[in-house]
Amino acid sequence: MKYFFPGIFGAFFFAWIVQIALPYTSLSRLEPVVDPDTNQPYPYNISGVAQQGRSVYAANGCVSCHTQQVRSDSLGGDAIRGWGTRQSVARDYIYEDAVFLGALRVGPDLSGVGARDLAKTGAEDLTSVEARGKNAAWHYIHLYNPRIVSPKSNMPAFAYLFDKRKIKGEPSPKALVLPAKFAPPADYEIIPTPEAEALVGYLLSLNKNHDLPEAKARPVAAVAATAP
Amino acid sequence: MSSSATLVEPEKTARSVQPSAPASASFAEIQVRSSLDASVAGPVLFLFASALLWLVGWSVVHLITTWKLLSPDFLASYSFLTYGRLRPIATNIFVYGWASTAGFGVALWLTARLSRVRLPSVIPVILGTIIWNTGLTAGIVALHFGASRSHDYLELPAWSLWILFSGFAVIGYSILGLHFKRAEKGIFITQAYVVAAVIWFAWTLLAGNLLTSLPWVQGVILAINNAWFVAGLTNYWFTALALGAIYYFIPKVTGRPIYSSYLATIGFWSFAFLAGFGGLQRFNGGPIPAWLITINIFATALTIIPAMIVSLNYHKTFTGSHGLLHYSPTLRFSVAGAMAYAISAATALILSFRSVAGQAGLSYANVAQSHFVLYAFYSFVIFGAIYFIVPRLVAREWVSSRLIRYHFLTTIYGIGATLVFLAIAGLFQGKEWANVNIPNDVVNQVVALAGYSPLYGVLLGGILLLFGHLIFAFHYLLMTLRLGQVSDEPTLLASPYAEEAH
Repeated sequence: MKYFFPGIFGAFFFAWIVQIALPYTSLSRLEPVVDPDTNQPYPYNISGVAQQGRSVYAANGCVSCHTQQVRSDSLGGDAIRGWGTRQSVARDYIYEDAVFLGALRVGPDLSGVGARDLAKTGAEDLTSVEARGKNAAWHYIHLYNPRIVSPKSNMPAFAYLFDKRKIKGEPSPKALVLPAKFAPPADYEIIPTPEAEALVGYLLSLNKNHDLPEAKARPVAAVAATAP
Repeated sequence: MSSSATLVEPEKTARSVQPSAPASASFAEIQVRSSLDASVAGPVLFLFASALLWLVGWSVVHLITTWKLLSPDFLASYSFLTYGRLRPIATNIFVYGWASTAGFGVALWLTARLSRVRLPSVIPVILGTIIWNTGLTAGIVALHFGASRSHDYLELPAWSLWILFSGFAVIGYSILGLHFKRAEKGIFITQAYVVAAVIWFAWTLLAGNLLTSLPWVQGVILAINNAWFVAGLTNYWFTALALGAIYYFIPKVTGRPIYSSYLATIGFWSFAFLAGFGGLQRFNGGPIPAWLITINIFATALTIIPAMIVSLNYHKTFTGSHGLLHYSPTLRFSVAGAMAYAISAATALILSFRSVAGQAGLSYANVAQSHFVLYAFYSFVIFGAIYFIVPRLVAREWVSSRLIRYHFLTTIYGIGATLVFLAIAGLFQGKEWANVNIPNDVVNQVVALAGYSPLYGVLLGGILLLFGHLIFAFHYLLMTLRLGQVSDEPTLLASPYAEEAH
């Protein structure tokens, strides 16, 4: 085989150029889009706390069970399910230095979990202080022990992201409000560690429900007609 | 015993059939081979020993992670044992600890034999193996402490993968050194696959790790790079190496030359140009350019062509020797692996169709597919190779044919159960996620319950695999302690002579 080395070199780099180099040239040129109504650019860089939370998300391997991609309507019911108002596109991820698209859904997709009304606040505006507070409280309890709010869940408890400590003086305002069955002894309280706070900050920041020229939200009527 | 001339003594006959050499070996030829084997014996045995330790370790971690899916509170109070950290640890132990390390051993031995060049010094390979094992151990510890990069097969921190890369560079350099010093300038098909696999592995590791490490590279290109890397490692390294090994061991054991060298060449080049594709269809419907997914589905369909060519060539070489499956451990494992290869090419194609991907795409069915390739195909071929190689390195035959049989049965039923039940769990999972009549706030629980009973089957498979690996590792230990049989006859799964009685 006279052409052995040029051949294996060519085979390798042909596939690499087609799949990595070519897409990179166009993907690296993607820019945020300014929403004409609100004058806000999207996507934007998430806050410092949420950035730290992203590292906690990576460190604990959340991507093993949770995807962060709403697939197109031609494949299953991702959007109808309420994981997002539209399918995810490459522009959604331009500021992410670890992309948690994932390959397995043991649990639900999290790409829009910050926009979901988990705590059933009924608040129209999920960015309101009240709604965020209630959703944050739900996340803390769910992370501390998922089976408190979701009895048959197979997600592991992340109790190690919380401190159980003796109450000294006033109870902490951060202490989790737990049902009696899961509550610590009377003079103890469960406090989220800074890691847990960062992680919840990150989860609340996850929201890809912004219109982009290449991906617009599904009509509300269509969502309402199919959603439970 | 020697009077039983009617029956072939498989490996004995096979030993004398060098694929490109005259049919019967002279005494001088046997001496050359022993001297080649002796030059690589230490490093190859060390590589296999490391690989088997990692394999046993994987079996344990794999069992724990499977049990955690059924009982999520098991060992949940320690951050370093949480499911999300153990799962990538299991994957990386399998990919880099077992599969790659054993692969280096097989590649080194095959290259020494086929180049007919003695390894000048054992030190580089031994040193490379120590560096490889150290880098991997450090990387695994880092994963326990939360250093994961959350990209499949690239979870290990960059520094750890660079240590692995430097260890591999030393080993790979030694392997290629033998190849380039060969006197015979032609290249046998096994050499083509093995040499290409070693070079491709280096490039894949370099390119994949580099792009993931560059701070200014952000966005879905990282996910694309990751999926390309997983496919690259699977095809360029594991599949290429195992295909090359089968091309060596089937002719060796059956004593028949490769059916068609023309088919072998066509099969190699069509495989080479498709091996870099086939990873990106996991993003079917996802946020990457659609044309990338389309060409990957197309390439996965085309991959059926080299798979059929190679399988046909194996089949034609092997036809007429089915009886040997009864005796030869190497042949039994290699043929099982070859069959798994042919089937896995078909299942990969089925999983890549858009109509299937809607439900199976992000489910355990994909996990089953990667187990199919890395275990049922690759690992089985490597098991067969180790059964062939080790007796030639320690000048002893395997201690017990019963242990070999138990190893074969536990691993084939173990992986069978794992694949079948993972696929069932995946189908249930995909079906429930896609059922939009189930309200959003309970769907995760419905999915968890649906996967529950099949996962017990996966657990059972994992227990069988653990037993199989313990048996194999124990048997290997006996061999390295020089406790094997001193015999002219290889240890066969059944005695060819007993059959004469009936």
